[in-house]
Amino acid sequence: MPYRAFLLIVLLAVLLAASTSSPHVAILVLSNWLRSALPLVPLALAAGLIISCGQIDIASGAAFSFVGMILIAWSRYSGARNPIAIGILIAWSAVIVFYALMYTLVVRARIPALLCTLGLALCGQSISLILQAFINRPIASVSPSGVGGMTVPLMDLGIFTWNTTWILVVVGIFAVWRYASYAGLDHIAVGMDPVAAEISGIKTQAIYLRAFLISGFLVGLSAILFLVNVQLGGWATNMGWGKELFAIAAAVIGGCRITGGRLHPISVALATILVFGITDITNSLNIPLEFNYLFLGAGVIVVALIDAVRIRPRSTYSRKSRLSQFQLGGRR
Amino acid sequence: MLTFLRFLHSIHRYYKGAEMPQDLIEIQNLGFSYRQELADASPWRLVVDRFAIPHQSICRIIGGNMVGKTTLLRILAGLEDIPIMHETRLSGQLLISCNGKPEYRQLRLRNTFFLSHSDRMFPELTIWENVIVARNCGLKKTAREAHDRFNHYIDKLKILQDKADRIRLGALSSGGQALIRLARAYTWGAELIMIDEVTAHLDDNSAKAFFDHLKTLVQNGCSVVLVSHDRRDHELAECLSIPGTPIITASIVLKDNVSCLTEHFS
Repeated sequence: MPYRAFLLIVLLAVLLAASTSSPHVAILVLSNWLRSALPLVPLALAAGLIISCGQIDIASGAAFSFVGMILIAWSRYSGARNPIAIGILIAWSAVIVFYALMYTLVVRARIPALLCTLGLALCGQSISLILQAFINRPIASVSPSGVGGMTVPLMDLGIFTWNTTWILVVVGIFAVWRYASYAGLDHIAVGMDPVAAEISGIKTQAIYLRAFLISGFLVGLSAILFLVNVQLGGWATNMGWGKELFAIAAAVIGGCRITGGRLHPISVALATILVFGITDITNSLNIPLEFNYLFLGAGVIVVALIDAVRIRPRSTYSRKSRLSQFQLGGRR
Repeated sequence: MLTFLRFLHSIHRYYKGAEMPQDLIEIQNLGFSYRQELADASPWRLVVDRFAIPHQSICRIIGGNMVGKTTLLRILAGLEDIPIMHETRLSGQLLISCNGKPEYRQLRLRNTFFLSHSDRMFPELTIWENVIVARNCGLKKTAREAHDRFNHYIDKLKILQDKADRIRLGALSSGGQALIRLARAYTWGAELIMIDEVTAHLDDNSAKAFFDHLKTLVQNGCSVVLVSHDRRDHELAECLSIPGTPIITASIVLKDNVSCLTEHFS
């Protein structure tokens, strides 16, 4: 088991033990807590996927928001005439197209990723606001429900209530892809050094495209799971704004190096739950909301410091290659 | 219109080429200059009227410093932009017929390894992962076949045995990394291997082992292009030849800021 995953499991165990021993920090119902935390795992995985191939994405929060807004708009205006599945398809396609555009600008047009995704984040926020204005227009035939009509009926979204199953499947697929496939090795190789990857015959552009498209898919999944399991059908225009920082923090704490070349999907999932738990506990202890990000920021700095200290000297041996274990039946 | 004419011309050359004796690579009318130098009044240029590498041959490229030897290899490896019109054939098939980077990048030569002292690998990955990540450069092989060939290579070197899937590449010295560069080519096999001063870091025994492995590849049908200033390498390259293997010496001479390549068989 990677060192990082082991550390995160220990910290999660400490967190859970503290929650049961002290009434002040009680995570009262574990299932409810997990229900809230798990939808954020795909968002953190999306951030980790892009970070690990050497790029950065700060537009995921805006994309997260407009997925929900598209669903609300679809639900409001199509009513019972059209199934919500079409709305989900449209919203999911929109976020994937959004990430394809991001790929085009960052990789093909070579715009610096930070600036490009900042611009796209602002565009994404604007899309949400435009959709809000569109939703709030009075329609004679449809009566608004919920706060400003920002709700979606849940009866057709039963499959997305299987929160844990979705996350286990996604993390499982990611783990197999990362540790037991050539594609996973190529992905982190591109993150380590794109020039060396090109010399080695890796199609770097295809790797970037795949990373961005899968990230779009994951952001869409995260938003829909959040809508169904946490918001119970309700949505707000700014629901995802700021979540990109949470996702990046969780990815970095979960072992992704900010300059690329490292991705441990299981650690990222554990880190997401841990970060969510810490945020939850600070709420339980009545610590002011402003201090939440102080804890998170300090955590990221500590992790970055540990990474800097743990740079290995030339003579040390690495752990046994997991790839060779899977594909070649272990050590010779 | 010009593009269409070029397209027709390339089709014509393709069918004409099918009747010609097939070289592994043939370059005609190549002119190359670095992009930032194009604005200069008299930029440095590399000019190649014709350069052909037959199948299963050994080609030594000689010339002084800064005449464009490495540049030529990088062009062959698909690592440089080609701003001036040229044509390249691989196994008799026309690959490149117009200027510009996108066409060249898409048509990067397959089954070709470029071993350079300055190229980069992945110090954080293990040795075996560094080998396996280069699979797209070589011929199609299963992981098992590749592993067996890699073990054969390692066993002959008598170093790193049983440790290749545990040691990170960054833990090796420059000489060790040079051997791993060849291990990638040896493991996957290739039609063409281009070597640019790789053996500079190797001692005599390791250099001999390096060329022994190279000879095995030549016996299996591989062509080798060698750039080296080291007299030892040129002597060892003589030993690479097997009966029927042509040895080509290409020299690049710089005159009036223009490097010209001429080749002659021996």
